[in-house]
Amino acid sequence: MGGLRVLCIAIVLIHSHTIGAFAADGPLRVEAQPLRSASEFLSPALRAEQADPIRNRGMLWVEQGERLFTQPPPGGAPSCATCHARAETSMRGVAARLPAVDAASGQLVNLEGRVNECRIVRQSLPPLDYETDELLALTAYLTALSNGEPLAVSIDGPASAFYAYGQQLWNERQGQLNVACTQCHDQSVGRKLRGDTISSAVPTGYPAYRLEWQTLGSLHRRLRACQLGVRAQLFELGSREYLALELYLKSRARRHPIDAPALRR
Amino acid sequence: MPATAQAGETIKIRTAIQHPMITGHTDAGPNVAPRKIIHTFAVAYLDAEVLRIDVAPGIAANPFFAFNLRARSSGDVVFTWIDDTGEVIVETRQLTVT
Amino acid sequence: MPPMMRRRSVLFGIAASPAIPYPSLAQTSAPPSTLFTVALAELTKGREIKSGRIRLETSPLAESGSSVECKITVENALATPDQVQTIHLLSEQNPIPTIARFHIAPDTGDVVIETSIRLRTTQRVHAIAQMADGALYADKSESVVLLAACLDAG
Repeated sequence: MGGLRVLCIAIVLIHSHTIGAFAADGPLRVEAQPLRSASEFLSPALRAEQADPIRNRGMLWVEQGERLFTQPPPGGAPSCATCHARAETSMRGVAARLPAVDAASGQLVNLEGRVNECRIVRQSLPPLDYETDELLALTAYLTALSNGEPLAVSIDGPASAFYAYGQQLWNERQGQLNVACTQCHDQSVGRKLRGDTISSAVPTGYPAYRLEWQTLGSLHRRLRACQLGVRAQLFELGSREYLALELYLKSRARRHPIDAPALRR
Repeated sequence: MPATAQAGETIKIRTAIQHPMITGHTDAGPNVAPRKIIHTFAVAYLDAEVLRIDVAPGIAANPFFAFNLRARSSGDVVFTWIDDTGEVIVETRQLTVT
Repeated sequence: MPPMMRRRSVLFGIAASPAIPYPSLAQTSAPPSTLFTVALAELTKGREIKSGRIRLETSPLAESGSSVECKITVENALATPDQVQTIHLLSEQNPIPTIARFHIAPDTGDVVIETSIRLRTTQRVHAIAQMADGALYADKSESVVLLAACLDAG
């Protein structure tokens, strides 16, 4: 439970440095300010490490993902590349447009969901769990194929309800600390929290290699880490809540180019 | 690492491998996963070991090592990682010396 | 083409330089752990540790103890009897003092090794080079660790 110990420290700092500035139960104010790209919050050392394909340890998963995508899985099922040949061009931009509403099911589906849908329907394989090296590798590979592409999710039509739900979650106070996402990531951007700088929550680098995790992790795992920080009830990875928040965050950061896998502290 | 080098030239080799390097140690209490780390990393060039590293849990996850190699003549550079489960991963790169 | 895997010079004195005694371990910050002191004693076996020939650099300010940059440089002339044989990397505050041992083949030339290490907390790290003639040279480096290693993350 070392994580909790660290988080306890975070809690003190939140109260004294960040949330102290807000009225405890006052209305939440969302200030419109331009989002700062995630890499702006990185130290020069981490930024250099991220740009170096050997030092950026996330690239190990990208390489694994390319292998998994290209090689036929054991058991005779077709490889991903059987349908998605020349992935460098055919899959470019796909990650930038997700999550999106699946026409058949009416559900919001992100990249992890799409990969698992293909596994079940096209490959007759069991879905991969969040945070397994295999799913992280495939999503890292596919997201990296969209590097430089601006986030371009749709929030129109059937997606609008999911977007609204994500926005609601973003602005809702939660947890024992009674803090909403927006209080840190809209209203306190650039201020200090536990020796770190509060970012604009631009999700272009995920899946990302977080030094604290010592591994690659999904955006949903990162959202869960924030929820742990404010001592909130955690949602499931891949849940409708995190999917809606993912859509909200990616719409909010629309036009910010993908740069995955990123390095984070 | 570069694919070619001149005889006598020193080249820089950088390696990274995907491995969680589970330490078997935390400051967190009793529920500690058993240690599973890469304990040995060895580099051979022209059939002779040039570097061997005894690795302890103090090396970071997904171990990164960079080191120098003096090019003598053309041949294989063989990299070997061995972990606690006995898994051995061997990678070979050809170095052409001109 | 570095091996990316499936799952799985800075000179510091000269070889013939007169020995400069390695500074005492007494420091201003936390004293070294007993584990470290024992490990160092086992390694030196009473031999004198000299400064020079080896240089250790670690990030002065480590954002995360889970991965701290570390660079070891050893001046190592070719075809001399005092070539570096083994480099010991020791931590003063980790639960296991030895971070790594580097065994260097003869006639390697100058040694430059880079890696990333785990540091439980703010501390000094020592690199001790054992030469073929038995001589020991050491250098140390201090890192301030902002976020400790050895903690589970969410």
